Amino acid sequence: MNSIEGSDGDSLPAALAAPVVRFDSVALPGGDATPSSRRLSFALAAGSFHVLTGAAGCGKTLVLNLICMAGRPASGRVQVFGRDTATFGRGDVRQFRRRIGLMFEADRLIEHLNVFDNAALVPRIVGQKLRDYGPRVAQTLAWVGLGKRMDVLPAALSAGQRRRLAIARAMANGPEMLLADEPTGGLDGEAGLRVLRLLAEINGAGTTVLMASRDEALAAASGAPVLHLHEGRLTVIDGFHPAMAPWPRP
Amino acid sequence: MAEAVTGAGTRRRPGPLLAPGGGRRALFPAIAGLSLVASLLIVGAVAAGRGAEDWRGRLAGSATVVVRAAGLESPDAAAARAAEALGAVNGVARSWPLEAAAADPAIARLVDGKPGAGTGVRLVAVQFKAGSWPGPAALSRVLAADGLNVGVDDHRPWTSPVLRAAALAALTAALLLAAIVVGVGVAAAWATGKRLAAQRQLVDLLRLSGAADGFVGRLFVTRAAATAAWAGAAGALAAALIMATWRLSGESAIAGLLPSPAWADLAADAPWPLAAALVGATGAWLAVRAALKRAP
Repeated sequence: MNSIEGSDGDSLPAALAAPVVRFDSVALPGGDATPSSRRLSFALAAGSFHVLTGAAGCGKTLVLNLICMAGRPASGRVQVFGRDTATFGRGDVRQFRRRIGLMFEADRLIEHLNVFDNAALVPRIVGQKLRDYGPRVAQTLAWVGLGKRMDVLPAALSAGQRRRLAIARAMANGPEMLLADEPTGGLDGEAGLRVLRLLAEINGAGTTVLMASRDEALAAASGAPVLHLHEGRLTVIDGFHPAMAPWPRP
Repeated sequence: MAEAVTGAGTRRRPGPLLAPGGGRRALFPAIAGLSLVASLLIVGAVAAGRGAEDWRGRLAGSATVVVRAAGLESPDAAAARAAEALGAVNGVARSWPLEAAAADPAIARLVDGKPGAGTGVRLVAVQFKAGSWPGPAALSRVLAADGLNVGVDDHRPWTSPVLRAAALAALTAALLLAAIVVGVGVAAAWATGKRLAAQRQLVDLLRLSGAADGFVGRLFVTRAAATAAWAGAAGALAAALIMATWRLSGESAIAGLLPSPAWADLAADAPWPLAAALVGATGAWLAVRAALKRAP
C-alpha cells in the first residue's frame, strides 16, 4: 500500500506504473533559480499513505498547493492523476480538484454554518441534492464521531472535533486523494492520534493520503513512509510502526 | 469510532454559504436612496406626460375670444352677447364669459397691466366639440356680423410648445434615470468587490474544493440582486408614500405647476425593484468576473 519512490535530483529511480502524483524536477514557486540538485522528483502510487515532513517554512504547503493546482511550479513538471497540470484549463482544474479532498492547516470551517452544512460543502458545490448527499454526509459525520453534533456551529466544537469535521468535509464526496496540511497541529496527543487513525482508515479504504506535518515524532509513529523536505532537498524515509499497522479498516 | 446517525433524513434546506450582513449594510441605504429618487422621477415623468396630453387636448379643443366693448354697451353685456353668438356657431360645444378672477391676469397682460374692470375688455371661453374646429376666421366673422369688436386667440399653436416641454421633461427624467441606473450598478459592483475581499478565504475554499466560477459568482450576484431588490422596493414604497401624501394634501405650490399624480401613476414604480435587482446583479456579476479572472 505504501508505495513511494523519490529522489532529490533530476532522475526518478523507478517510476511507478500509474502514479497519482508525480513531480519531475520541480522547483517550488518563488525559487526560479533553484539548482537542479534541489529540485523535487517523486511519485506517489494510488492508495499510498505518505507523510511530508520538514521544518516550518520548508515548502510543505507549497508542495500540497502544487498538487491541488493552487500554484504553479517555478520550473519542472507536476502530474496529477496522470496529467501534466500545466496543460490544464480552468475546467480541468475544477474537475481534478473535485477528486482531491483538502484539509487546510487552519481548519477554514465556515463559522456561520452548522457542522452538517460544513461537512456537506463539496457535495453542494458539485450540485448534488440534499436528499442524495444528506445520508452520506450524516454517515461520514458519525464516522468521525460528530453524528450527534450535526446541528451545532463550529465555534461550539473542541480543536480535535474541528479537525475531525475538516476530515469529514474533505471526505464527504469520496475523493481519490486526501491532502492534509498539519492535520494534528495544535492537538494534544490523544486527539492527534485519533485524527491519525481516521486518516489511516481513509487510506485503508483505498484513498491516497499525503499528510504534511512538522511533527516528526508523529510522522514516525504513523508508520508511513516519510518524505522529508529540508533546504530544498527531499529525503525518503520508509517507515513502519507496529501500533499503526495493519491499518484499521472502516 | 463511529456513532449513531441522528437527523440524517430530516435535514432542513442548507444554510447560506455567504455570511449574512457584510456589505449589505452599506449597499442597502445607497440603493434605497437612489431608488427613491428614481421612483419619484418615474412617477413625475408619467404624471407630466399625462398632464401634457391633457393640456394638449384642452388647448386643441378651445379658444379665447377677447371682446372690447364699443359705444354704450357695457363690457359685460358685450361679453354675454359674444358668448351667445358663439354658442350658435357650428362645432362650438359651449361658450361662456370668464369670471373676473380667471380673466384679469390675462387681460392685464393685454392692456398695460390693468385689471379687466377698468379696461372695457372681457374674455369669452369657447369649447369645441370633439374633432370640430371652426377656425378663428369663422368665429371672427360671426361676431363681427353681430357688431362686436373681437380678437380670437387660437390655442392650437400652444400645443407644440407644451408637447415639446413634456418631451424635454421626459428626456431629462430618462437621462437622470439612466444615471441612477448606472449608480445602482456601480454601488452593487463596489459592494460586491468589498464583500469578495472580505470573503477571500471562503472563495479560496470553494474554488480549491472544485467550485466552478459560476457557482462562486452566483453566491455574490444573488446576494447583491436580493439586496438591490429589497432596497429598490423600499425606495419605491417611500416614493409612493410621498406622492400619495402630495395627492391627499391637495394642490400645493408645486402642484399648481405640475399635474398632481393620479393613483394609477404610482403603479409605474412597480417594476422598479425588479429593475434594481437586475442592475444590481449585473454590477455584481461584472465585479465577480473581474475578481475571479485574477484568481489562480
